[in-house]
Amino acid sequence: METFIQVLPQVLFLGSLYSILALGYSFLHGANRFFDITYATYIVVGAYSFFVLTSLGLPFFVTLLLVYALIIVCAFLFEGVIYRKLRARNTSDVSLMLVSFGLLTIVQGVISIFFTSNLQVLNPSTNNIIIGTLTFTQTQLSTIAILIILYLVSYILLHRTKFGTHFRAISENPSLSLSVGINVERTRIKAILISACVGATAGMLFGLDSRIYPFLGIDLLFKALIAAVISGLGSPIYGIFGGFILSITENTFAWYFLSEWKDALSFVILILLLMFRPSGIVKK
Amino acid sequence: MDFFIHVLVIVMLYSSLAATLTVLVGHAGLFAMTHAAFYGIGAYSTALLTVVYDYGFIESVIIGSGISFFIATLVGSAMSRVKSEYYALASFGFMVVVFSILHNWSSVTKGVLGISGVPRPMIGNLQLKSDVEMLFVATALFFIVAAITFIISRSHFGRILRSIRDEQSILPLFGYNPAHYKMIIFTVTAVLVSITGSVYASYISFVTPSSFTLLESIFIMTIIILGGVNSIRGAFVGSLILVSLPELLRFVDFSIGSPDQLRLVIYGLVLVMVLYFKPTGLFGSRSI
Repeated sequence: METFIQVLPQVLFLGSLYSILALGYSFLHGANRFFDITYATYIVVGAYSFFVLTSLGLPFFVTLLLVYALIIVCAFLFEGVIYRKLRARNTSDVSLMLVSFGLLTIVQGVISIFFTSNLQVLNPSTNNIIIGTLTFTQTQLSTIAILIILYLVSYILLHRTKFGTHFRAISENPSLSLSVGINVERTRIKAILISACVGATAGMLFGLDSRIYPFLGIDLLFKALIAAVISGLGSPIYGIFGGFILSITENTFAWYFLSEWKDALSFVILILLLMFRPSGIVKK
Repeated sequence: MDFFIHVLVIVMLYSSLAATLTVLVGHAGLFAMTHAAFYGIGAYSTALLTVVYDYGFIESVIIGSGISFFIATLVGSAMSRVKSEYYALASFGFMVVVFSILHNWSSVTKGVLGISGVPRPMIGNLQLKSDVEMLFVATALFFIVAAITFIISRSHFGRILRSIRDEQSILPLFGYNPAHYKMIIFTVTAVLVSITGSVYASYISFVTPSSFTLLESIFIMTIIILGGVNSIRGAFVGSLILVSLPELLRFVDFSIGSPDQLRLVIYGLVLVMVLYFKPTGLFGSRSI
């Protein structure tokens, strides 16, 4: 049991990361209602742009600002040019999902061409912080901190602001919201921007912890999806449960049994949930 | 010339895969991303049985189909419990699980290394050897699959499938159980795909898990979207275009990127362009 404690920082880190991912995804899902794979695109663009900008040696906050600016531009680009047209034509959810997947594939392809399909390592600071018997890297601790901040902010945003009320309304029933006078489009765009930035952040954090590769987006998207489904797709706030449950289950399994089957296990959990309890573990 | 034959064989194999998917997606409206899984099961069954256990080709096809049938019944019944909006996600899940098994169960599947030395088919006393002979096999397979697909689509069974797609809730009123029909079509297509996989294994003579990923399923889906989700003709033409295009690019000297990476960009572009400009595809009569 002692050695498992050493893994605890990683478990907490991944739990936080998955929760952040689930949070970002919930905003997107509330806005877009289909399995929007564009989230993966935001993740991978965030990670790689951070990588590029960091190697230019700019100050940290400037880099962050530029990354977020880029992500926001991408979000406007994707939503405005592509999705708007398709939505006007009443395209089915499945088609929209496929288009988002096509976009991701293009981006993944372009990234592999310019950066090779191999792993790229960001160079985080190697200051390790020791708490008790546990050793955390700076990235891991920052992620946990970011999670807490994000959740507080999201809670306030969702339950204490007008935007929050509007968002919760449109994620449940867009047409009814429209007839009540909520500006659905504007709320959607704000939610998408939030989601894109959160996703990009998650991508950067993951990259700082280990490495980045072109398929990072879809891998993290799956984690986000599983965490979100565990806690129930509609509620951004509950995503925290999903994230930690996933991380704990994955790592416990990997530690005591076989680590290569970790991914398969996560998906088996997903399938079982979709079959028996798609609304998630948390009772609404 | 040899290269040309090789490309054609691959085109025919993918046409068979795409044709089965048109029934599943175009007619029954089941967005199943599990095709590559059964393709892999068929391919690996033949590879293992012929190389390790010295079975003949035909027996390996039968056993492989049997395994696929069994797994398809499990997967199919699990999937029918999933609500339609989560169907795609659940099928992604199965795809990843099957890939993990092929990849990680190294004691049986040899993991990443794959299985090589799969022999060409021996049918009765006739040993098929050359690429041209395999082309005949692949084309014959396509015609059989296309015929089955055609018959299904024109039959009463096909009409029921289309009502599953269009308005599933009315079927019980007429006395039909949709879950039952979904299972049937899922298992039938799984078996056909598995047979195609067996032919693939014996043609290429080695199998690795990396040929049977989620990306592969999406590739087959892209083929039918390009060709038209409910068109057999489209399955062939789509396959022709999407399989040969990256191969042709090998001859054009691109200073940027390898063919594999460009392939990704091409597929993504095709997917987005078709859905944006012509959602019904080249020959289809419905958009997805």
